[in-house]
Amino acid sequence: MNRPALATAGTVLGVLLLLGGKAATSPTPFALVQGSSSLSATAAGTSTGPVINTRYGPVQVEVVVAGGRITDVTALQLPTGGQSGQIADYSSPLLRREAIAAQSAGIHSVSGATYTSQGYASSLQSALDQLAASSQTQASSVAPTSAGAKA
Amino acid sequence: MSACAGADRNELDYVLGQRRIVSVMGTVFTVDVRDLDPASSALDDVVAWWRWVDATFSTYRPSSQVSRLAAETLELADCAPEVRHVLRLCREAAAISGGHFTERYDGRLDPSGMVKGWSVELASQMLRRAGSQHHCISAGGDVRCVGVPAAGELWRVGVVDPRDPRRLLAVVAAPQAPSPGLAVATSGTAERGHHIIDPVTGRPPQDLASISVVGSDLTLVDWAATAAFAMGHDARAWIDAIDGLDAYAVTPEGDYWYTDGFEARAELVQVPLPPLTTWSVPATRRTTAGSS
Repeated sequence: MNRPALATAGTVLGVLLLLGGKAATSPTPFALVQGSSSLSATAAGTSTGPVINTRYGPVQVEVVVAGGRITDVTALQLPTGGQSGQIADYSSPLLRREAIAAQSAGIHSVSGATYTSQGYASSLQSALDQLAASSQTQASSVAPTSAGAKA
Repeated sequence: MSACAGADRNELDYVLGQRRIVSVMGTVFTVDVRDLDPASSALDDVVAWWRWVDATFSTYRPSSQVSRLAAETLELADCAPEVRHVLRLCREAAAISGGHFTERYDGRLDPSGMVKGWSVELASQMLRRAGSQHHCISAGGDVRCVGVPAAGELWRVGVVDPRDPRRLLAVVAAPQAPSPGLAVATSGTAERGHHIIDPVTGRPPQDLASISVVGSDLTLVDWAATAAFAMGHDARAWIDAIDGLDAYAVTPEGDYWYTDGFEARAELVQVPLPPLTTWSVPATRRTTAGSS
């Protein structure tokens, strides 16, 4: 298998710009990042995301934030088994990856099941948004990246 | 394999530590980048690329070019060159796989089996062009790693047991430069229920619970995993015959096999995943124009 996609890659951005003017029926796909909001350094608390109905059943997460950092995420509802309490389902790639990366030395990623991820992501985002809103971040002064804060 | 239509307001785009995490194409993509700022414009470009691919190729969005092409309200000649390119790749894949890969699902145009791996392979190329030598992209179970996570370490990708997602069956390490790195994709019933139909028989494949294919080009590895799952046990000889590819397969009964070269690039393990307790990383939400 050669890599015919290489030639295309060089034109990706140009094509995106072209299509931005052509695709009238949907928002421009070339969504430029305008800025970022974030959890403030003092954001803290527990937030429960909405129940997201996926094709495989409801997904709902609870997130715990302390000092502007996520310290725990718990799946309250999942389609597989539906256990509440501490997460018992690893099929959410974000959760699974982070768990593995943090605790299973040297595994950076996994290849396998993924099916509840969309609902998981949606519920997590909403939970974080609620926290960000309730903790009144100093929006524009927040640094656009947290990479520098990484230990 | 695309996002539910209208899911835009729920699209996630976060920076968590050195990772950029976005929801796209119905799953979560993570870019773990060790030599660029995960909030840099190079990563923004990658996210925008994936959003564009989703909007263009989604079979769940009636406005996508692929949906309009299927509905015959758009001519192929009027589609983006990427659409024509992907459909060309699909036809090549169908020929190479003896018809076990197809760009049709349930009689309808659906190149989803090609789009995710291809778009991630191109994203890795975009990052390399932006100067990144060390990154690992995880796209809902498809993984593409380049370089190393840190000096003296290798990117390591776990293969999940389809019968118990808390266990790993193997760990594959990415070879270092000048190698082109590592690509891993898994196809199976666990991923999205019985969504795979073998185009040759017209029925869901029965031989395997999952098959993980390992190589260095995620475009090839991803569609090859889809085709191999449809082939079942015949995939062993087929994968063996393709230069640079190896595979590890698990049957519904828990038996397994792997191709001749697999053992040389992996550790076979029976590792229970650790229970989740906590992690602590900075969280920054990215806000993009066009969403919300």
